[in-house]
Amino acid sequence: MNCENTEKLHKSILGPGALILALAAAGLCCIQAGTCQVPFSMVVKTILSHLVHWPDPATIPALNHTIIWDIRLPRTLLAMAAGVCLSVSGVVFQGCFRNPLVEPYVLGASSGAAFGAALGIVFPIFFLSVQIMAFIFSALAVAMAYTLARTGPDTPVVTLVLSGIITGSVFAALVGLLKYLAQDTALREIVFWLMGGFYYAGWQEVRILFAVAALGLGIIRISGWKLNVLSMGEEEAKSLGINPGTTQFILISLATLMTAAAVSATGIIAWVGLMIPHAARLMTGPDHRRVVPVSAVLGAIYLIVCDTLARTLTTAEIPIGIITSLVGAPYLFYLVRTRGGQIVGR
Amino acid sequence: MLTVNDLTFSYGRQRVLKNISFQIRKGELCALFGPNGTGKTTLFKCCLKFLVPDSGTVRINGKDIRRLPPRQMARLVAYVPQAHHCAFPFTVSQMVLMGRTPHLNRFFTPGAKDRKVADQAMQTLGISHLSDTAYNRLSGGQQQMVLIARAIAQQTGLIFLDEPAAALDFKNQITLWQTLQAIAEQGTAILACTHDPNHVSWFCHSTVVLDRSGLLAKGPPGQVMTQEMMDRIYGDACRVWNINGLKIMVPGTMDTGTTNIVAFPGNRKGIHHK
Repeated sequence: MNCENTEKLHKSILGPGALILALAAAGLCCIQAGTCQVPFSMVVKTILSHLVHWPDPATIPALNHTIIWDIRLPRTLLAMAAGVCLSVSGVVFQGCFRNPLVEPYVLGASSGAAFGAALGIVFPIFFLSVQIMAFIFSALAVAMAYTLARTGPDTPVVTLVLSGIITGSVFAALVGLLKYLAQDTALREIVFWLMGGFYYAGWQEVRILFAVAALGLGIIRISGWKLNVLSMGEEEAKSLGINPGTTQFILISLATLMTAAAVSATGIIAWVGLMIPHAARLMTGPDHRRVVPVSAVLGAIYLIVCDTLARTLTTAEIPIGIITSLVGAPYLFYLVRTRGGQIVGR
Repeated sequence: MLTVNDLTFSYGRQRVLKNISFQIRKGELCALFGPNGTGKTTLFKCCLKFLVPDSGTVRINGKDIRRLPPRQMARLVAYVPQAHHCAFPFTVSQMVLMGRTPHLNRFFTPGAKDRKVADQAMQTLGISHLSDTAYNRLSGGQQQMVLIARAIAQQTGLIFLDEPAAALDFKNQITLWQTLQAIAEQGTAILACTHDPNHVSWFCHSTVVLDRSGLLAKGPPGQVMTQEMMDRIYGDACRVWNINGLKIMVPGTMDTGTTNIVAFPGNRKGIHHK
C-alpha cells in the first residue's frame, strides 16, 4: 500500500501539468538572468506583448524587444529543444541497447556531425551551410553504422555498438585531418563548434528544432511500453509480440533525427543524453512511459540552466559543453556512488 | 496444440536438427530432454520463430507459424527464458504486466482487466508479496517464478520453458515442477527443456528425447526413460534404479559408504553434521 501511495504522489508531482509549469518557470528565470538587467515583470510583459499584443508592444522599450524577444527567448527555447532532443534520444538508445551506459552519440552521430561541420567551415565555398552539413553527416554516420551492423534480417546490438564505435573513430580521424589542414581562423571556429553553444540562436533554428523535438517526443512517448518490452532483449520482445527489428529501427531513426538536428543547431553538447535519463529514472522508476516525458523536461531545464551559467558566469561566454560536463560529472558521480543500484538495477 | 513436422535446421554447414517430428496435446507437460549440444535450444528457437528452419513446419493450434506475425504468435505461445539480469530495475508487477503486451490496444495502455490477470498470475505462483520488489533484487528461483507468472499472464495455450530448473535449489526445483503440473492441469500445454533425467521421469507426462542423431523417442517417461535409453545417451555413466515404483537415475559408478564428511571449523553456523 505504501508503495502505491508513493507512486501516486510521484504521479501528481511529475504529472504533465506540473512538469510544464516547472519548465516555464525555469525558462522565465533564465531569460531574466543576464548582463543587462531586465526586471522580471518586464520579461513577462515583453513576451506577452508579442504573443497576444497585450500590453501594447509600443509601450515596451525597443531595447527590451531586442534583448528579450530577439536574443534571449530564442536562445532559451533552442536550448530547451536541444535538451529535449538529446535526453529523449538518450533514453531511446539506453532502452534499445539494454545498456544504461550508452548515449545518443554511441552510433557516431557526434563524430559525423563534427566532420560535416568541419567540412563546412574549412571549405565554405563548396558547401551550403555548417548546420546542414553537420546534420547530413551526423545522420550519414549513424546510417553507416546501422548498415555495417546488419547481418541478414537481424541487427545484433553488440555489432551495432561496435560498428558505431568504428564509424565514429573514422570520422574523428577525418576531423583531425581537417583540423590539421585548416587555417588558424577556421581551426578556431572548428574547436568552438566542437564545444557546443547557442551563440547563433535565431527563430529559424528554434522552429526547426522545436518541430523535430515535438515529433520525436510524441512518437517515442507513445512507444514507451514497447521500449519497456524491448529492454528485455530481442528474443523476449519477440515472444511478447513486439517485432524487435522494426521497432528498434523506427525508434533509433527518430532518436538519430533528434540527435542530428540538435547537434547541427548547437554543436556537440556532451553528457546530457547520458545523465538526464538516469536522473529521470531515479525519480520515476524504470517505466519508459514516464521516463520519456520526465527526462524531456529535465533535459530542457538542465540545458537552459547550463546555458545561462555559460553566458553569465564570466564577461566572455564559456562554451556550454564545458559547463554541462563540469556540472554533470560530479552529479552523476554522486548518483552512482549513493544510488547506483537503482540505476543499473543491481 | 503443437505439431512439429519433419523439422531440419543447420548452422551453416553443420546440421543440428534432422527430420524432427512430434506433437504435444492440450494439457500435456512435456520435457524436451537430451544431453548438451543435441539441439534442444535450437529446436526451441525454431518453434518460437527466433530461427528459421531449413525445411519442415511448426504448427500451433493448426496454424503454420511462418504465417503468424509476432503479435498473433504471442497470443498463442509464451516463452519463459532462463532467469536473467534485467538492464533496468523493473518491479515484479511491472515485469508480469508485460505479459499482457500482445493483448493490449494500439497505445499499449494496460487497463484494470490486464492488472487483474497479472495479479492472478502472481497469486498462482505465490509471488504476490513480491509485487513491488525490484526484479533484479530477487534470487534466481524467485526470478524464474516471475518469468513464469509473466507467461501465465500472457494467457496462451502453450508455454515454452528454457531450462527452468537450472538455477534453482532442490526444494525450488520440486516447487517449480509442481507448479508446472498445476498449470498443465488447467489445460495449458507445456514444453520444458531440461538436462535432468530425474525431473523428466518424476514430473512430466511425456518426453521428447534428442541426441546427436536426431529424435530418439517420444512418449511417457515410464516407457521412454529406460536403462537402454540412458545407455544410448550417456554410455554407461548412468544407472536406473527403481525405488517404490519411482525411477531414479544415479551415477553408473557410485562409490557408496566411503564418503567422509568433514566439519570445517569456520562452518559451524548453518551446517550440522550428524
